[in-house]
Amino acid sequence: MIRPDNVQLASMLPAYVNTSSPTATISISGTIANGNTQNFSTSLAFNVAARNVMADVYGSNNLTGAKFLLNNLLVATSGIEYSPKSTELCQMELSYNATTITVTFSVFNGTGSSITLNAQTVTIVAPTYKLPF
Amino acid sequence: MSLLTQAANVVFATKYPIDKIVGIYSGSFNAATDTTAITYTFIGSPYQVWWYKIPHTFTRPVFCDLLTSTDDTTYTNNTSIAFSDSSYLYIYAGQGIAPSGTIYYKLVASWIDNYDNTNPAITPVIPGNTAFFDSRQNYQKIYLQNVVSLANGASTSITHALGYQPNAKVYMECFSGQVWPCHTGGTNDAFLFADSENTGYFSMTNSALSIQCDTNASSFGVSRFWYRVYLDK
Repeated sequence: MIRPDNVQLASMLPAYVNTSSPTATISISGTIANGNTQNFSTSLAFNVAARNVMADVYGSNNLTGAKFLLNNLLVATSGIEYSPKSTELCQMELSYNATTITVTFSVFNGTGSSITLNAQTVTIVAPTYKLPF
Repeated sequence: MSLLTQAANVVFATKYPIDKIVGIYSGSFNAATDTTAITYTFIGSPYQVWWYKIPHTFTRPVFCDLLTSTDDTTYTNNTSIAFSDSSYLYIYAGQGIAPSGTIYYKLVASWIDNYDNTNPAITPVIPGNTAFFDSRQNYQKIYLQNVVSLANGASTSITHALGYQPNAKVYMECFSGQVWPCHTGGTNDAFLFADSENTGYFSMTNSALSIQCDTNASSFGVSRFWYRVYLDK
């Protein structure tokens, strides 16, 4: 047994072994007709067996100058700049397959008319961890 | 030059703590038969959400990071979520309509320093083939960590002097006594299914970590937010 409070490192407790931090960019721009969905996607290769990988996936938006964590973020309204946000929907998908992590932003235009997205770049970085799953 | 002036570039430095894993769980469950429905009040009406519960003996909540899959081939961590209380780890299985099928999961539980004053003695739940430390690999080095309390609509900015956008993670009390990953994507967020649920959003700039507390309709009260700003970027 161990009392973990305030322990820096303990031989009984494993840590997140950060094996790589692949990066990629997603460029977002263009016009979306009313009622349509536009996907913006990128893939990051990682160097651990897919069975044993977990990652923290971050996005950094050049328009906002802010970085956000994509884990657990299903609706990414706060990560991408467009207007009016109140009547649009931005879904975020994050999937791990055998060799890659795929990040997809899906912007649905429900405004009632065509919209033009602000040109922006989201830089994705994903510290990957080897874990004994 | 002291090595610690370049601490962001070393894999580990005793000056900076790292995340402490206390449990690693993987397996599968039948979403129809192995889950428990919890009834929330959502927009004034009863609303059911199904959870797979894993009992634990840590005596207090832990941080949960989760991947799930329906085919054991492609995993995701943004269509599912896990949280914990003092007795169980909970894995999301579905909402509104009773779920079905097999859900595969990979869950990592890590320790919350000073969650309370108990400093309990625990037995980690760790598979036998775990590498506990590998000096050839990097670790996310915790530059700042603490807890802040925020009411609905309140926000805070925690300044840092790193000069770049660091990695950071934030966990929060969505409900009293439960620790969830900090998540929000706006009013359509699939994990907002209770009027009394608090949620939150955070982002990092070159100089600060910003945390915002939100709620659906009627906050249960003040939420605690545990944040970790790493030296790594």
